[in-house]
Amino acid sequence: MDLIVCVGDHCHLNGSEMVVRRFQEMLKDAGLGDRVTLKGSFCLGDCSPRDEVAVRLGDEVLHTRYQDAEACFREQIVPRLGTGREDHHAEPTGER
Amino acid sequence: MAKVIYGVWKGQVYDNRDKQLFEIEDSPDFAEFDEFDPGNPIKAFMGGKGFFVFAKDVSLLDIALCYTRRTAHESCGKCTPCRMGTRILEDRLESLIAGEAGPETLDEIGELTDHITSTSLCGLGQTAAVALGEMLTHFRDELEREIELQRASGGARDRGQQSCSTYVTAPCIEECPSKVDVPRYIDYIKDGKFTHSVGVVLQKYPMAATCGRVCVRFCEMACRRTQVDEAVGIKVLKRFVADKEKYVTDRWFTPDLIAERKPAELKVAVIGSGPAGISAAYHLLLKGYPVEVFESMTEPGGMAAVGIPEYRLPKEDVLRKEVSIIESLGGRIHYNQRLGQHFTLDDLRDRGFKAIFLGVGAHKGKGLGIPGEERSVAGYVTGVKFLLFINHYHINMGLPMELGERMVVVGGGNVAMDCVRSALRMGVKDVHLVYRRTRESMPADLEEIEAAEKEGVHFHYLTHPTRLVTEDGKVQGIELVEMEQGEPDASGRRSVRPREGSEFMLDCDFVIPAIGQAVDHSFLSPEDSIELNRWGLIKADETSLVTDRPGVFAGGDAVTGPATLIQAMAQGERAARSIDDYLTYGRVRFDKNDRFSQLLRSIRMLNPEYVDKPVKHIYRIKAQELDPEERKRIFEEVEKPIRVEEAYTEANRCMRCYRVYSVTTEK
Amino acid sequence: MQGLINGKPVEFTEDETILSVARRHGVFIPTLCELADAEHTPGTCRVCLVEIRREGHDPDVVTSCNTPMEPGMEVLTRTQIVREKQRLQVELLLGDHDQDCATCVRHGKCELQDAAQFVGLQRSRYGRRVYFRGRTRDESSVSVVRDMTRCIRCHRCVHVCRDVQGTDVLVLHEKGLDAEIGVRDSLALGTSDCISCGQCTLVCPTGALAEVDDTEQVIDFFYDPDVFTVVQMAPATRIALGEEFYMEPGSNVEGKMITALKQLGADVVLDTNFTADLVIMEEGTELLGRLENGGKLPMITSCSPGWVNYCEKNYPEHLDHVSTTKSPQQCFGALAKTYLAGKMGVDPAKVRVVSIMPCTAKKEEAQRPEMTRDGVPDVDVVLTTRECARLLKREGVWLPDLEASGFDNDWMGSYSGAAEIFGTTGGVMEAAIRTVHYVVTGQELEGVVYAPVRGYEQLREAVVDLGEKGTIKVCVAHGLKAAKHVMERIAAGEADWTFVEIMGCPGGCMGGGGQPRIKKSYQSFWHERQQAIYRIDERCEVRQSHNNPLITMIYDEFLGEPNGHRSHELLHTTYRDRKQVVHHTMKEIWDELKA
Repeated sequence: MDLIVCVGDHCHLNGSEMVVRRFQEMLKDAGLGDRVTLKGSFCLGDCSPRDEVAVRLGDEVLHTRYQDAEACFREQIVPRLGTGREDHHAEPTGER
Repeated sequence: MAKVIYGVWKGQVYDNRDKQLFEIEDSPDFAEFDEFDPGNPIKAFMGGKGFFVFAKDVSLLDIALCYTRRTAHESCGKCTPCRMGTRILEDRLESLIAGEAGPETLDEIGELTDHITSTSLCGLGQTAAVALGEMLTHFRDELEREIELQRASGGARDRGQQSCSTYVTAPCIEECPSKVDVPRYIDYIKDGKFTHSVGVVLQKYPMAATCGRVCVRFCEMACRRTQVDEAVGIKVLKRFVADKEKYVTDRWFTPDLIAERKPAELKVAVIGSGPAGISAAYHLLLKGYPVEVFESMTEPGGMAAVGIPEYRLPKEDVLRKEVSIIESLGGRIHYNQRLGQHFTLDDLRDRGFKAIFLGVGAHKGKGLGIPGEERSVAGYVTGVKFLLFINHYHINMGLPMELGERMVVVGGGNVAMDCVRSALRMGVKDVHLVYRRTRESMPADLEEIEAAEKEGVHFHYLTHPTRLVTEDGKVQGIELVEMEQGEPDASGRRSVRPREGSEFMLDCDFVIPAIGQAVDHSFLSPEDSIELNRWGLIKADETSLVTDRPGVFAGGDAVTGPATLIQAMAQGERAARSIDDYLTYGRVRFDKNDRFSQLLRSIRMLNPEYVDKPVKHIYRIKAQELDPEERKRIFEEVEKPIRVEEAYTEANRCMRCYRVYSVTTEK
Repeated sequence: MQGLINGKPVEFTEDETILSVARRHGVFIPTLCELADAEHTPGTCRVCLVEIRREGHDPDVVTSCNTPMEPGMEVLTRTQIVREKQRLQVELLLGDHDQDCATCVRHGKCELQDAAQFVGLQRSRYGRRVYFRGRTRDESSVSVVRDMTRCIRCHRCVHVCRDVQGTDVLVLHEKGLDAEIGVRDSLALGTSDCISCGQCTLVCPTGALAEVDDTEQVIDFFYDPDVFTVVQMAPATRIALGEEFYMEPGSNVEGKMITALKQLGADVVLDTNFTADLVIMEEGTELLGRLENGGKLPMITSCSPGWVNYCEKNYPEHLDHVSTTKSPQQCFGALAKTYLAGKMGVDPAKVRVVSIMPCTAKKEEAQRPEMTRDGVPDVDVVLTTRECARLLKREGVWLPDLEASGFDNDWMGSYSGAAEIFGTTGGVMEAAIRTVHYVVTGQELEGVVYAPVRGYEQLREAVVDLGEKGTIKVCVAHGLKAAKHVMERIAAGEADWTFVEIMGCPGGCMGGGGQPRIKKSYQSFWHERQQAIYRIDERCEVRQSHNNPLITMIYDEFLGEPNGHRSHELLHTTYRDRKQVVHHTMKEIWDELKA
């Protein structure tokens, strides 16, 4: 899955670099490097009116302040990497 | 490369004392530590987490004394252990060096270093005695040996040649391009001395109120308070004191500020009244040089004036007022004076200017000027910016970039070539280049064009964009029109005009305007001998800001590409120092503080260190804003000023993360 | 949230400090710079150390006053390491402190001496003159002395001056060992914006800030046979002096004070309360006069010299609001050297007036040029309550053991209950209302007491019903922050009050800068003192100023009528513009920064 950090004008000035660094560390620590590809992108077109950096996970765009990058990763990103989506195509096995 | 003979850092001990110098492995961490300035080897280094010795004949007592003396000097005096402890350590070390005390003093020193480190109030105290403590714990034998020698000779022993320099900094200071002493001006706010606070800021640049409104705050990104709750509101505090103290008056900036006036013939010309130019002029005036600023527009401020809206930065009340400090100091600003049009560099030389600073900014590199073009649209970035960011995020930080499937770059220069070729390398499948003239007319290097063609870039000559098509804030495509060539003009170049009815749509998801240069260099002629780099930015030496033409310096966006206000101001100050050196010594001299910053950056010393002690959470104040409904119709400042009580609360969140570093050299 | 202190489980809320939790559970941790009831925890002395253990962290030593307790944290307050470090800390504190305790005004009552005891200090290795030689001794003020060789940088004074009073005169100067509390803009205290309220002296833990000591002068007067000493005492002193002798807070030692002073050699001991009654007559008449003739309203009381100083230095353009009536102290002095001297057949030139006041600013007031006649000051010496205690102890007089006596009643020694309540915030207003109500409606205030102006809020308002004449709005303020608020309203033209009482000190005179200090506390005995004042009022036979027979007498025999010619000569004063604006130049600032 792609985790994209916006480095467009507005987000860059709001600390995209810090967000990228945090995510890089946390992906490494959590060993999620094979499931998540961290990328950068120029303006995602969803600039926040507050001091936030836009981050796209799959189809969803989230916003976080650079100071809250760790919390964002733990509370918003990791849950969305959940089991459901990837096994989406798996056959139902009768009882659950 | 420097070799560590012995030392301790963050608790890790290094001991190669029993090896010969050639047996000791090079430490890549200390790649920069061979020499401090050319021809001056570094013998030892001491910092907030320990120390390293690179030469066998170093006097530990001397290093420790030099370092401790600086910490005692920097101690603010509020808390007991640091205020008293560092001074007692200083006294004890002095008496040991004078041969008046014995090794038992080391016990007392050990008790004190432990105490200072564990019970001090701020970062300075907490790091001030660590190195000495480690020295004592792990290399006590070296110290005892030295103490005996001192005692035996009554302090008169020749301890060899060594000289010591110290440097005090903090993570926020190092991140700031101008190296503003952040903890110091926050200290003054804590103490209720707002005039002193603004004085600290004004030591670096004159535009304190502007900076306090628009700075991107590198300092806050490095702030260690983030580990407790949130970064300290450093910018908002700066704005608070800048607004409170009406410092832009004749009374504040008086002629006696200028300590020594330089001879009148050492005039300096500053081109551009943007942040870089104003900062350069400010520092040159304070050093006593006569300065004249030449501004091409009718109002000062450069990018700050044209690029920042009124509701973020009031032009009359704030920007223009601060620029007028230049005039209070005796400088002159000439408006409507465009380099290349009204005068040339040679003219300035003939008129007696002995040095010139080019702070012309990077105003071009804007858009295509076509309908549908908007600032924050997904899939749209200007050329030089694109390249700078790719450099920063992709090449330096290893971050893969998502650039869409099909990219259209508009332009014909080297910037455009770099854009298309970089795009291919980053996985864009389909890259197109659109240029309004013919292949022969392209200003890019022929090798570049050929390489790009070979790599599979699709070239569209005699084509020009007419409209950008976006939907839901995303680029969908670009409408292009074919051009036809007309009659040659006076210079022999054939004109081009759109061929009616030949518009066509090119679907794409990324558009990059790379037309013209970022820096308007129409003012430069070959006789000027100012070189530009391949992106059309003025070439200047990284540290000294000297260009290829003697006596001409450049800085700000014109050299770095579109960057920030604070970086431009830092460059202006740097240029002023270089110009001062040049006019006094004929060359730019070694700067101790710059070198220290460089050394520290090279071993990543100031990575925000873990805040271990529990700290009470005090959440950051939120500056009030004008009601959104109300403010969207007016241009009054949106961010309201904070109150005095809020300023005190916010200032008290600063943890004062000062650290002292020292370098012992031969000379 | 839960944690452990010395092995015992404790409960606490988020961000609560270790010290606060410990205190709640009866665990003692020695402290020095903190002042809990003023919410001051600067963390500069570093004495209140404790050891903490947390999972995943090495054991650490932290200051308990500003470190939050965290869930699962184990706090140890008496381990050997903690005790050694606390001792070393106090030793270091003493290092740059002038340890000549014998000559210090706080000897025996000093919180630093206490701290040394709490930590069990056995040696002091680091005291060297050179460490404190550079610090300032500022004797420019006649009210407060600053001796920075004793300053421990606790910042309590800065807190009280800046955050509680709002005057913001004290700042930290210099750094390192030379760091000391100084006066803003590097002025001397006597010529700065300081208004001499003395609140800073109440909270200073050492002898760094203290009242100017005038006891020697008083002893000179008492023992000089050629001099006729007349002593007056303020309403708020008699209910606080006992604290200095370990009596129950709120004890009324009026009678014992009289005995003590007579024993020391005072010729005549009389009462400031008498002139308080007089001030009510004068000021009440002045108020009614302004109401009738369209004079400047609201009228503001003038008996608090701290407040008058504040007005002169900050709002001189509104001085015409302040009543021209002198304070009770000054009225007393003027009358003692005229009326009293005449009645007692004493040469006025030999009269020396000594006043015992809860107030440090009174020292300055007594020396104002406006308070002299023919070059002779009306009041010669002012002693604060603290100095009075010191005087008695010096002379071996132990107050609690004395029998009570009465005032030398004759002409200026009796008072009404309304006078006694001057000592607390709201008292002057209430006293005035008791009299004004009678003068306007012809009837005494029902129930005698006027409760709406009583209380502790910094700014209180009430509406007084004057019968047919309608109502007037009054306001009571204490502390300078409230005073500023009042003045800002007046300046903006939004003040709709008729009469305003402003006391410079929080609590009114009972909380004055010259009152007994309570260690490690700022306003502890307020309640007891105030209750004592109201009790005295209740037990008085006469409750209203206009019913005091001695008042009737002085008007009949000497003054004529309130605001009459004689009154104006002796009992009214003028004020001066003392505002100063200090300008800064960048050069000054940068020179200071580089130093």
